[in-house]
Amino acid sequence: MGKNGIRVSIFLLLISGFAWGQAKVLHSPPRNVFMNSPIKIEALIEESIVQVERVRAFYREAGQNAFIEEEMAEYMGVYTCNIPAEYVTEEGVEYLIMAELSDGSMAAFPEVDPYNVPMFLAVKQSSDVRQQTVRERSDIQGGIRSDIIILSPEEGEVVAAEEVVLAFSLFNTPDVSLETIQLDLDGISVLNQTEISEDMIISRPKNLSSGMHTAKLNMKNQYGDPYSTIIVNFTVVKTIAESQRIFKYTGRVTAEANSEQVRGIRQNINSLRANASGSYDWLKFNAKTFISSQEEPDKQPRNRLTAGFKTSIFDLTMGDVNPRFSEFALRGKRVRGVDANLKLKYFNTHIVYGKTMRAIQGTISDEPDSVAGGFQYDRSGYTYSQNLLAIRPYFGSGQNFQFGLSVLKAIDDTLSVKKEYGGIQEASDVSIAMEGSKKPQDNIVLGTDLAIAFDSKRFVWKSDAAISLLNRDISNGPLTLDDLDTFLPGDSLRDSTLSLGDMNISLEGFPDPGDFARFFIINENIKPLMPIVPDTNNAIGMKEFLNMPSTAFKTTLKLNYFNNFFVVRYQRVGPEFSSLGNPYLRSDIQGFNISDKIRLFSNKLSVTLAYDQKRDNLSQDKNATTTTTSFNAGLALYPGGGLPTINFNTMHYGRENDLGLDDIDTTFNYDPDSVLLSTVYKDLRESNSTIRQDFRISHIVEVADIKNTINITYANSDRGDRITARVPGYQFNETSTSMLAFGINSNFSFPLKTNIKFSTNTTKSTLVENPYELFTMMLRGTYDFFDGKLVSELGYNLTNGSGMIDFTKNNVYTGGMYRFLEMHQLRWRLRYSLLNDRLSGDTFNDLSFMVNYTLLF
Amino acid sequence: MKKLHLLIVIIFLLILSTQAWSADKIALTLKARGDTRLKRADDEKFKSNIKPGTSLFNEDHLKTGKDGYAVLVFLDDKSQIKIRENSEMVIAGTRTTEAISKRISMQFGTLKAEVSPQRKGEFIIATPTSVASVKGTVFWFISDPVMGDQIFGESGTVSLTNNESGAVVVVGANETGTSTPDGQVNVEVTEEGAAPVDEEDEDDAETSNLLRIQFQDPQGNIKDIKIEYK
Repeated sequence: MGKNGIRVSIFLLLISGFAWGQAKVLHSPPRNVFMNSPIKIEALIEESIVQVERVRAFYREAGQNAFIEEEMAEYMGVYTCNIPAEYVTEEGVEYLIMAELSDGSMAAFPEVDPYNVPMFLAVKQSSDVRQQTVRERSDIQGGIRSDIIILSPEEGEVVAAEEVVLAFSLFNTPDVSLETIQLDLDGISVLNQTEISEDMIISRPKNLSSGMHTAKLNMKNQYGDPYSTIIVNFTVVKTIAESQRIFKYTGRVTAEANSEQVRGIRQNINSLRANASGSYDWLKFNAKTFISSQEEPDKQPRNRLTAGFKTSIFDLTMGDVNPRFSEFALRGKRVRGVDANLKLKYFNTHIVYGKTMRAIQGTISDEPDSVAGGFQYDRSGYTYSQNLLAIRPYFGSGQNFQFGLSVLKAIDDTLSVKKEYGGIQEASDVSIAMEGSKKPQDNIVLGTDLAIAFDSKRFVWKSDAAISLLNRDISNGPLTLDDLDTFLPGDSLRDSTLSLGDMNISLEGFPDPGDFARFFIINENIKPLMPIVPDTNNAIGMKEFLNMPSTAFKTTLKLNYFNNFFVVRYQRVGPEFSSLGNPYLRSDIQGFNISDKIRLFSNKLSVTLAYDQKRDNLSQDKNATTTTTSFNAGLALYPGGGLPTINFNTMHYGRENDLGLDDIDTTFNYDPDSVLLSTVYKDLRESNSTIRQDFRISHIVEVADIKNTINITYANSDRGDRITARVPGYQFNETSTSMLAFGINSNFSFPLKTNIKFSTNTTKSTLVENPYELFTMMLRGTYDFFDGKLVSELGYNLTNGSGMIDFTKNNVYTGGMYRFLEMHQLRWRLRYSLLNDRLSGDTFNDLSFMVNYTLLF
Repeated sequence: MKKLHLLIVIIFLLILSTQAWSADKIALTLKARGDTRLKRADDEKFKSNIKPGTSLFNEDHLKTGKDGYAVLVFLDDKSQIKIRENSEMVIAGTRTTEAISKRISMQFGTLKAEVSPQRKGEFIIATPTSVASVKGTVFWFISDPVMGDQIFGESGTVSLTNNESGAVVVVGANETGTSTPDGQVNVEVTEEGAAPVDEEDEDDAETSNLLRIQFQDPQGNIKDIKIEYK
């Protein structure tokens, strides 16, 4: 499904509030979300009736208008994606998951009105503490595990020759027999250069050559039992400066073969993923590759290739990039090309150039249609390749001030899709029609942004403004001067004068629109045709200027004082504003948003309150103006000290238009004798509300050396019609859902980990007779062998659905992971699924497997 | 017989003194660069030219000059202190069998503390202006007797108490806590680029390996290319 498809899907969800699919998205929101840390989203799709085509997550910073789309990767039935760290801000994160099914239906999480009432996650401040104490590495000979701390060097550390110290602390291992200590460096004893005391073993080897060295420490306890050998590898360089300049890199290559069978239909997907990054002194570089067997030339690319480097003043990335300029110009759109950012603090420039869509040739009809003067073939299913150039010079580092100007130009390559296709040529009696809605487009967006911050960014004010022009069909090229004479609305007089309201512009000496074609193609398909609309008196004033249909404006004020993080935001996106660099931006919307996050008791309690109001129909050219309001209140309690963490969130979403009883459209149908046959009412009044609550509690309980994390989640939502007096036959999809989940994750004192989870999910709709009830049980255990080098896994899932669908699915799987030779990792999983579909009477035995090899370097 | 008694007393004192000496050993210098000086508790003068691997005892006094830099590590949990230039502090630690209660009395200067979660003891940084109590965290601490103290939290939390007013603030990750001699305390979001920069741009915790490739030119000269990878 292309981008338009996505928009249509979202729109359908938006207007219906709920897309009734034959599947469910099973998802537990993550409990601990930290600021500036990516969030892993996982979901299971219960798809016992139809197959899943694709699953995507849509996410955004709370309060933003547009969602970012991310395709979720599937791994043995579990769909995952990461919300990047830059979207995880103190304002919180909103997201939804959408699954497209093979029969065209959809399933989403949250189930009710996901686009308007997405899942909200409160974000905690980061509290990761670097674990300093490093346990020893034991050699393969075994021995008693000791609590010796390797003080120096670190494993793999690069040390200048003059700073090499081998130091081991015996503080936590008091029963060492000191006379049994053996310290070897590269196989040679260095005991004669070693100081041994009850606390420490220290050696300062001299004249070490550059290169890799290995220190080994062996010793016994007071009873003569040997401890495990402690091994440390480190690298010596000549000077301190050299130790900081060494070339470092890291990476991983993963190859995966996945063979999945669902309801007897097998799908094989193979992929290769490689990431590498490194640094040398001031230079950092990275490269990423994803090659999938799902890559097909007649679809948009699935493969990803990216390589780039960063310095303190210049960043360059080539390949697939997702640049962020501003919300109005370029955000969330994949560009295959070049992303360069020059950062000179006071003067900076960000440039993105590349292709956003690949040309797809589509098909041509097998049989021509008869038309006047011959035959006509239809071309369909094609997509033009699209090129994008975006430039943003900006001034100031953003620390206290930043002012930017941006220009975005995106244009479809009209020559990238050939009209003559499949050997069929146009002739005098043969024509080829380009069918479908995918006309080649041209788009230009001019924008500006300003950010002012002071008081250590406790006060931040940001504003963005932009104006766009979109030509929805450039296949016929630009206008000529003759065309321009009668180009504007209301100007039908061919008088070599361009008339706009009270203004008349002579076309004598007027530039030919074709001369501007390299910047923007001007013809009758421009939206808006008039960037500014005169009033009824054909006059243009301040009101008309502010209400320009293709402008967008947004201003945000953030105040972080007295443990309150207060945000107020106003935005207006005109109905004709359009940026091909951000296809997910909602247009024809105006409104404000106020939120406050209050931190109390040393951040142990946070309360979030948010109110949002928006309306559409800014040009007053629709039948009705719809206003949406949402109120969100959340409470997150992280008391620490062994007490449970609790999250509670409630959201009320309302949607109402300004139509009244008088606006009900009534059609009377009469027979030829004027006898009333039927009356058809069309009630477009809208006033409905969705209320959702979710409550999550997580607690760690230790019982007999078993660390158990107990998770309980309860969520419900109700969508109802607030208009009681409806016309006969009116159907509103009143929906209610509830979900209760209980899980225990246990860590035993021996290397066994278990996960147990039960959940029930009930959905009721007035359009469906029986509620859809789903019960799932998940049991999983992992056991580590050889110090975690081999991890085995065994699991069982039971899913029972009743109501609109009626099935039972038993799922047994086994798998494991084996790490060998430090750099290699092998994972595998085998899954057997028995599905009893009581609705169709079919039974399916599905066997799936996956093998994954990873090389770490 | 008297000689025997004397010998026993000497041996007893020797053992006792060794025990006391040993019991006070609390940390170790891992790096000492530039003008870095050390004064033992019972010494009167600072000694320069400290070597990496020097043991530190209770109440040792460390001082760095304009190009000084030192890294010290505690024996019980590997908590590290990185001391930047122009700093002066006393390193104190009280040992129990389970842990070392650590107290850094900093007169002035800049340090980075990478503190492991404290099992039994405590980790305190005291300055003329404030006292910071730490459980397990990474943060920068800048102390100036006139201007006051600044803490730049990188992870975890630090409790900062002002000596004058007794006011307490908790400084978290990406936050800057300030404490001034007039009794004021405050916490705010850390301004980008405000925190000091670690002199060592090295990722200690990650493993790495070295690949050495030897080249020989037509003249027979051998040169190495060394690639360190993680």
